[in-house]
Amino acid sequence: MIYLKIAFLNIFRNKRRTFLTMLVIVSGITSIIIFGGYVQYMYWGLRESFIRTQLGHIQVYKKGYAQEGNIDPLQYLISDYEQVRRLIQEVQPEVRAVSAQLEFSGLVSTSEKTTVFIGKGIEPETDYLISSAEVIRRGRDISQFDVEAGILGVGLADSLGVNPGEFVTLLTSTKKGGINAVDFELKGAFKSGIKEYDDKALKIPLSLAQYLLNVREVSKLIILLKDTDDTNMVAQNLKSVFERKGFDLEIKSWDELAPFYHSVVSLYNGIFRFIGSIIGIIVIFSIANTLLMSVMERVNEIGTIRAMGATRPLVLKSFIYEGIIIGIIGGIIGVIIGIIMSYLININGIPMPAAPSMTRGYVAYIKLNPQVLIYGFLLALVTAFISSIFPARKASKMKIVDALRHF
Amino acid sequence: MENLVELRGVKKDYYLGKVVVHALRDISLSIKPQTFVSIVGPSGSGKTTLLNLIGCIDEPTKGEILILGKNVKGLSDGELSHFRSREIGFIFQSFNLIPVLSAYENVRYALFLNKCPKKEIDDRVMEVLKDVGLEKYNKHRPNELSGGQQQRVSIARALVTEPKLVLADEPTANLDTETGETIIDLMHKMKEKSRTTFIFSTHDELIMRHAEKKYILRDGVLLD
Repeated sequence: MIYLKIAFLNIFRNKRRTFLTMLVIVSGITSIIIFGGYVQYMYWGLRESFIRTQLGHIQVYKKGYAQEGNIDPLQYLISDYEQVRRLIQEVQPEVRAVSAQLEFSGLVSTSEKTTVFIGKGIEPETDYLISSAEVIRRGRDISQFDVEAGILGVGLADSLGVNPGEFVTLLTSTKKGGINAVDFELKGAFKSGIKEYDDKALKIPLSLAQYLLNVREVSKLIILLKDTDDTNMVAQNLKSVFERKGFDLEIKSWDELAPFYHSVVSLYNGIFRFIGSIIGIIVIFSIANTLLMSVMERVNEIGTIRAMGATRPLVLKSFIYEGIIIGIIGGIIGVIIGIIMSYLININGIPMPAAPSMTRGYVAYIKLNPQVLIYGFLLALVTAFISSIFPARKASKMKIVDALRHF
Repeated sequence: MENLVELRGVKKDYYLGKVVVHALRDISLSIKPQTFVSIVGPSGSGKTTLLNLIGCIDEPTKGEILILGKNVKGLSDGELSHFRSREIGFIFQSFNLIPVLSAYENVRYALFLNKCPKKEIDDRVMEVLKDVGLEKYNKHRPNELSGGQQQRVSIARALVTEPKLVLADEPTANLDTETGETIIDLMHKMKEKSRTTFIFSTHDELIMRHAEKKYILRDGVLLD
């Protein structure tokens, strides 16, 4: 294809101009790739933080819990949870751990203060896996050998003024409506990074919670998978297995339980598109300017090939190819430099301040995935195509005799 | 077909703002196939305009133009482009080669526009480059060739498609006398070999001497 070759060679006629145009494209595409990689890291971090702060990948409840459980959670408990846990572990090799939880609320007291709490009876031997994003700030976590022990969120511990080794009392109503209380030794204080949660939450062993509430059941089973990408597949499989077995259970995946995650993703996707549009506009003007200058320099040449029999569509195509070739080269270089820059940034990461409603900062990294790289490349290609249309039309519409007179 | 080119009452006006310039006034002429024709006249007499009309790259204000017996009036831009790529070759005063292509590729480009079968391209390009004495320079770009050599490439490019008609607008104007003479000799030889009709616009005595038919233009009027 000789006109492709001409288009390619014409790009390098004015090397300095082409270099500057490429610089704009490469800078734009590199920026969008790095920003896209940062956004992807943030999505990933936020997702894994939700999953590993008590949410797990999948939660199994008694049917009706999701809708009515908030009003009276103790009426929707899973009684045969050990059988369900065994079944889950048997049919799904993708499962890493299944942890039972009993949720309750009430009043927590020291000798001097009382406040409300949201409590969880947990299985320490598996809970540490689904709480791996939480950090023990004082004392230690509870272990499977602890019986009358518990940990409080740092905010709750601070407001009560208690330290590890001291005792607190929990007061709550049982399933049948009676009042019950237990004392336990505070083993430590944890921090999830979410202030509202840390100000109210406490965790005690499941057996102690069952004793406090006078039940033998649990509120839910939390499933942690080996790979987050398997969530939907495992959730679908479990749904059909439960239906086949006649279990009166319902399933929720992590993304159904994390509306905040979706809000953040939606917000950042909007910002990403906005920045992409700005970069796109800059690239469009840059390429259009280069091609327009190229057209003006080659008026006589356009007249010559038109006289020789080149049709208007052929001239149009030639200049559009030039724009697209600039876009392809700029896009490829931009993607390569974007990958290299991401690698360099990831050596030390980027220290970031705490996000809204979070209590600690974090180190951000650039998490590149094929979609971000493809987006960067396509942005270069599409903008190059758009920006070449006007100069190409101008070239193809020239009157041959006028073009031949031009020097 | 008796006449290769036939103009009947052709008139061409240009508009410079509100001023009308009569470039050609009521031109009628006919040119037989395989002749060596020169159109002579001073600058501004309308030579280039006449060649542009014969070459189907401009339209007359009035009158009819028949090339190869075909009335080109009313043909679409695409049809005219195809017609030119098959039937007409152009040689320009400033050679007008594509600077990023080699001599070989410049000639080949005409065959690409002509939609020549791929298997024939190499043989045809090399043959015509050999005819103009540039087979050894086929890989040179225009800026690596002298003016005379560039005009030879331009001749090869005009002839490679085996057109019935070649139009040359002052082909020796940018060349020294000796080179110009060589180019005219070459064109004459090529005309004999390819049996193509050559029409030149010129005020070069040398070309006029070679011409089998001479038309004189003055102020847009054909004097004959």
